[in-house]
Amino acid sequence: MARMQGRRGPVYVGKWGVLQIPADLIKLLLKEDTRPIGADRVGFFLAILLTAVTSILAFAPLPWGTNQLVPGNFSIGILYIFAVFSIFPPAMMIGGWASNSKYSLIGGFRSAGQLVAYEIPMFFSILGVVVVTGSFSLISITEYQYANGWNLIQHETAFMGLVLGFIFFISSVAETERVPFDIPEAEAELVMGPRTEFASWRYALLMMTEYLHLFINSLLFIYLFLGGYNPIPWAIDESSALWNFATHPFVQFLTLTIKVYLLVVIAGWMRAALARLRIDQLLNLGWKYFLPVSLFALMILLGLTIMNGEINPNEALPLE
Amino acid sequence: MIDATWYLGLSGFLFAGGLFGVLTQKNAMRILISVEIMLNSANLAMVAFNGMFGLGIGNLDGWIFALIVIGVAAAEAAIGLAIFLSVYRNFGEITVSNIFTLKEQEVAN
Amino acid sequence: MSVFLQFIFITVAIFLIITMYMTWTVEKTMQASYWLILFLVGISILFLIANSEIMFAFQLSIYGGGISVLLLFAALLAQHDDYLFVGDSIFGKIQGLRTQISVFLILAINLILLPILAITNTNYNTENSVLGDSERTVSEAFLDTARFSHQLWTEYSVVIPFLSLLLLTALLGSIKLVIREWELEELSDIMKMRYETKEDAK
Repeated sequence: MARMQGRRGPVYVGKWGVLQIPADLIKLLLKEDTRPIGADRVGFFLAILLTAVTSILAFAPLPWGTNQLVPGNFSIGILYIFAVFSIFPPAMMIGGWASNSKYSLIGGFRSAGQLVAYEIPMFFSILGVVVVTGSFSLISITEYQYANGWNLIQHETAFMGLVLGFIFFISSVAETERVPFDIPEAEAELVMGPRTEFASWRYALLMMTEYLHLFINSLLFIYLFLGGYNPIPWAIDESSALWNFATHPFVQFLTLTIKVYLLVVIAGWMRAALARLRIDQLLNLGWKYFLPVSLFALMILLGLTIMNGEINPNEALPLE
Repeated sequence: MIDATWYLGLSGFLFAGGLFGVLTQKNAMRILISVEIMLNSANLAMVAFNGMFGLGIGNLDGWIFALIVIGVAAAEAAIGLAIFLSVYRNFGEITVSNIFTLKEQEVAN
Repeated sequence: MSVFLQFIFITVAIFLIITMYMTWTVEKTMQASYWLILFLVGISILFLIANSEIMFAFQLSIYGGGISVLLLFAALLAQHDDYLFVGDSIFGKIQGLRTQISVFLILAINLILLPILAITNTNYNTENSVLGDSERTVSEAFLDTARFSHQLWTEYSVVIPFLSLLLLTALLGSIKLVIREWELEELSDIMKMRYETKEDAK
């Protein structure tokens, strides 16, 4: 990122600066833990607790291979991640209020408004994929993409997968408060927004939460639209020779790692290069443009998949 | 196996707690919070009854009714909070024993 | 495994009672609101133990994600000096904390005993009673979620349109209740420049 901005980054600690992050972490943990005078003790603690716990919990339904390394194969995989993420806006508001400072309060309001505005287009994009696949579970979604090619580049649904993927990507950038949507952390205006008053280990946990959110949203984009651990973008048959290659556990793991790496690099690229949106531009984009576009894309996707005969909403369910 | 009577007992206790809150709180926001507690305890009882009578035969009516209750609670909370904001604008406070426009009352403390 | 689930149930039950108590006795409404958020999260965990993963997700996302933000915003906008609950005129001349707690205990014990009596005197299918079933397989969980959505589509297909109309009405109604026209003198200078028309400037 420093090279993209034309300056020298931290290169002193360790060779090429790779030990900078652990050094920062140790420094943060050893700092003094302050608390503003009028701050609400329980609320101050609770905000950090909720954000850190929910961002760690959200890793549960993510599979790293076919039925391997899955901590919990819920029947509601995606819905669970969405539910756990939706605790993040109230937690930010509690943190902003409990800090007893004007900047934190305003930052909390802006953060909650932005997060709530972009939850809905994100959920519509998720719904698009879930309807086509017929299951909430992330393993089933990836298996579907084995049989039918990556969801992002499907031509049968008039590239609605591309539209929904694009909306999901930008909504997830807004949900994780990354540049260009990082108003709540606007460093020149609001001094870290709702996170201003959090000191040593609290700050470390908040930064951990931010990077974990980055990982989780990148992983979600990969599982929903880029085929998860599937290295082949087109549909492959079960009996062909590619199938054994594509379902080999090591290949799956490697594919996933490479994809996550690419997406994190793209996130760092955006952070280095892009400027910040204003709060009313941001909310305009979310409510006035993304919401109708994702709604129409979802309806077109539904119509096309029913017409193609891939899903049949009236089929009977096996009861036992 | 958790016995269903535990769920129902907890639901009853929480319902009584919510009722207590509604009857004794002076702040309208806390009354709304206690109403939410009551609705949630009813949801708990709903899910418990579904587990008792329904899950073995694939009948999920309890969950669906709990979903309806969640939706109704959301709508009611929205309207209630809008009313509280209007009242706050006109009276400057939200304490329910001080909000009256009909006649002069003695405010019991 | 079932002892583990029972332990979780008891822990969450105590947690719920503590958060409920705290919502009555803290000083500010914002604090009561976030104790309520903890209460909602606790209830969702109980749903998860009762083998209904989808109700867990719904409770967390609707209550914990939507209504919580609503309550927090409203608690911030309608804040004023509170004082703890004191004996109110609902009890007539009897005031004081002891009467209230005793009324609460009577209510609570009644509400606990009555359903237990009702249940233990009815015959319900004990072999079909599954709450906190720890030997459930993954495919059964999937089947429950699929059955839930199937029932929403076929038998109870009125639910989602009904809820959407209800919530739409609530949305429009609350906007209408809260919206107000600002007089030009109330606004700050920057907002005045934005919204001033030519007639006001004359």
